[in-house]
Amino acid sequence: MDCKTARLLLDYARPAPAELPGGDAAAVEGHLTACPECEAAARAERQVDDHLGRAVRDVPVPDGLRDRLLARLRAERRRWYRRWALRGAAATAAALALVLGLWQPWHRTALPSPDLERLVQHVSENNAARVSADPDRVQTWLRTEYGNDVWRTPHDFDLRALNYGLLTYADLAEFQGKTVPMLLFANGPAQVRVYVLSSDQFGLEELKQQQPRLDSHGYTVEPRADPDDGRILYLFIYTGNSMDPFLIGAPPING
Amino acid sequence: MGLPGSQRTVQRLVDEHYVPLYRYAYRLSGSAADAEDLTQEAFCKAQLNLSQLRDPGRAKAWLFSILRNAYLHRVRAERQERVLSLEDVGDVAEPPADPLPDVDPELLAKALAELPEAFRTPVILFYFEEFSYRDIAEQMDLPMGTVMSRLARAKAHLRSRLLPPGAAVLADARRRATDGL
Repeated sequence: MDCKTARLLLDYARPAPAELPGGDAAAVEGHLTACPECEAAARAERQVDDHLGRAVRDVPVPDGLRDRLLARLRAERRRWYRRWALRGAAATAAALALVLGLWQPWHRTALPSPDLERLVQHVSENNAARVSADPDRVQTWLRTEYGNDVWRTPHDFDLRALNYGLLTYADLAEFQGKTVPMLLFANGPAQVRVYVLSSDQFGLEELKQQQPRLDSHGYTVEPRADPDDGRILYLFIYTGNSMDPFLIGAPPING
Repeated sequence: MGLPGSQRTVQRLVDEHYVPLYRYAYRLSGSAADAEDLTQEAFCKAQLNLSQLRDPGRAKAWLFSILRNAYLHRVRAERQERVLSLEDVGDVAEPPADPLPDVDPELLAKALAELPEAFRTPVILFYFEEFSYRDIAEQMDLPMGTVMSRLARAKAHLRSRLLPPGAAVLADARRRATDGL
């Protein structure tokens, strides 16, 4: 190997990592052994590289860097799993919405359409049976229709009779998770709902002690115990602050 | 991005490579704070893309490559890199002083910062020793001849800035020896 070739290959003749094939590396080393000028040049080059290499690698590593890296990586993992879980939940919700969206139109088409004529006839017949100016007839209807002998209907209010001519609706209604009779009286825009509560369904003792209370929506809530049956309490909820419009003798109110 | 690599695997990667990776980041960025950020960013990306590392023996090169990409992304965003023309950088023909004086760390940082990234990266990787020219070429996606050329210029720049005149002889001697080839 001549000097020209040897110096061309010297760049690749690093001790580590080996860049030259074994034969070339050996040839370069052989030339350096035989040629003092090239050997000096190569030694000087390596000396400078070693010197600068040490300086370049001489970087102080901050204390605690490893722990900070691992902590950050753990946090990133947690964040990734949270995002993954949220995406999973969102995908599930989207799939559910899709399924419901596909199912509901089909479901709707499978439902029967309302028979309005039959509905009106049913309401008319039932209303005729349940709504009466005679409170006893209303009470009888409720008891017969639903087979409950306990239920009663209110007759009087402060020694004055309730005007059952104003009764517009009577049936069962949901009341705080229970099904109870409910009567609706109307005089023009004024209304009173009467819920019939039984001690079989509710603890009524505390309610019996309460005074009428006008709430912020303009309704008065007034509990009244049945004078003849201690098991029954009527809960009157009426517009305004007086039951007068719903008692016998009150003038009609024009809406 | 797939499932993060197992915590054990990631921890082993950190244990084996965080020191050289941090040092590389420091030399690239010139700042301890940036170096730590870059190291964290590189490991976070590695954790999320661990499935891409098919040969565990290439982990170091892979991590260095991730870190360099993160650094380049920042530099492009900031557009603050100073660029030095290397046209005037010559090779020194005098023999080196013996022994060579210690390198001033601040001057080294300054001299590295003066190099464009395309020259700084190969010379840093070269001085980290464990990277072959082929590794450097692969990391930078460059032909090996280009890497060698940039490396020669970058080394000459560092020597001219950090060492007394005459500390680098081979480049010039070799150039003269190979004139006309």
